[in-house]
Amino acid sequence: MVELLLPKNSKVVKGDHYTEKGSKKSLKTFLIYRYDPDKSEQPRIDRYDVDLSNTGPMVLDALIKIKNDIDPSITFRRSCREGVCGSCSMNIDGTNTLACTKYVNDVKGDVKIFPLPHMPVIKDLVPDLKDIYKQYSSIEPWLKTSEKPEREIKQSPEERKELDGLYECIMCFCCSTSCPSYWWNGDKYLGPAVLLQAWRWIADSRDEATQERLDSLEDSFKLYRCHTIMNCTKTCPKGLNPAKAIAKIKKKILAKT
Amino acid sequence: MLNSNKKNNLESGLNHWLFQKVTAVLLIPITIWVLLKLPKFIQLSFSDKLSWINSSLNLYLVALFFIISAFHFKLGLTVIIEDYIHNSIVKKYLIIIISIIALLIASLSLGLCVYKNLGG
Repeated sequence: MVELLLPKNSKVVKGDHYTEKGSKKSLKTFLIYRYDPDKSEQPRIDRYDVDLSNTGPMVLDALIKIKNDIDPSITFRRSCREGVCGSCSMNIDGTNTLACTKYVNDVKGDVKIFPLPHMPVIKDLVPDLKDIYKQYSSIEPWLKTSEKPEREIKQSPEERKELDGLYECIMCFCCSTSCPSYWWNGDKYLGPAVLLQAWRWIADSRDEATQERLDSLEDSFKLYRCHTIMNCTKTCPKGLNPAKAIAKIKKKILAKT
Repeated sequence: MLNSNKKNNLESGLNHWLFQKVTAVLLIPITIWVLLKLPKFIQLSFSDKLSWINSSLNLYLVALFFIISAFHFKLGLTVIIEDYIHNSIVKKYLIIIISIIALLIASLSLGLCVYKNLGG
């Protein structure tokens, strides 16, 4: 039945307050979600007043500064710090985005940072993505051909162009975790990130498993839970359009039957 | 290997999606017609209402409106139930109930048209 009561750990309490020394002008307040499922404590929002005068301009720079100088216990993923690895995806100022490409100055008022929504939390800002990776592997994201040519399989510039807007996806899952349909049915619906990848292989002129791929997606849950809410496209930090890719899959299935 | 999900027509995601779009498009002109006729219809006396509905064109269009609406209602509500109700038994019975309601509305409308054609 509909779950009317929220689980205990959905109640977030007020946490600690840390203030750095510095002039009031250079201090920016960060409100950060802290939770450790291994402890019996409720999730809390810690408040950090950070002096930004000697740090980089991005939210990730501020997070690294907090971890280095103020509170080493804070946990988050990060790697490339230039928007190509997708590790530091989190909910900043109410929008899923990459901490490394989000300017602190673009946020008016306090900077609120939460983990990606509706994912199990491993610790603080680190979500558990194992189920979403399983869904990704279920679409078999690799080239399927009957021949094994010795050289690369050539594409015309037009065929290659079909992959623009698809290959750039860095699998940060900002889109999937912003999708209400994925929140309610994430166990069965593949979600925008995985469907964009599914389309990437369907659209590839070199791939020979198109029909097989379309058949596997023709399912009222895997694909058709997309209700064109468009949160995915709105939130994508790389400016991609997963909703369009999903619409193209639907159209292709229709054309092929 | 990729799992294929070959199912019967009613369970197919494609058909559900397609029928929902088709019924939605069909409902646009017919709903406009109903909305245009409705204010006058409400003001008619009961006997005038009966004679209005007794005209073949009016009856068929109203019946068509109810049949397409019932189908659209069934498809739309099924999606909402599948989205939000996660208990499989409750989900199954709710879908059966709305299917019966939709079927009743559609068959009643169709029945009236047949009755009219038989000279009733």
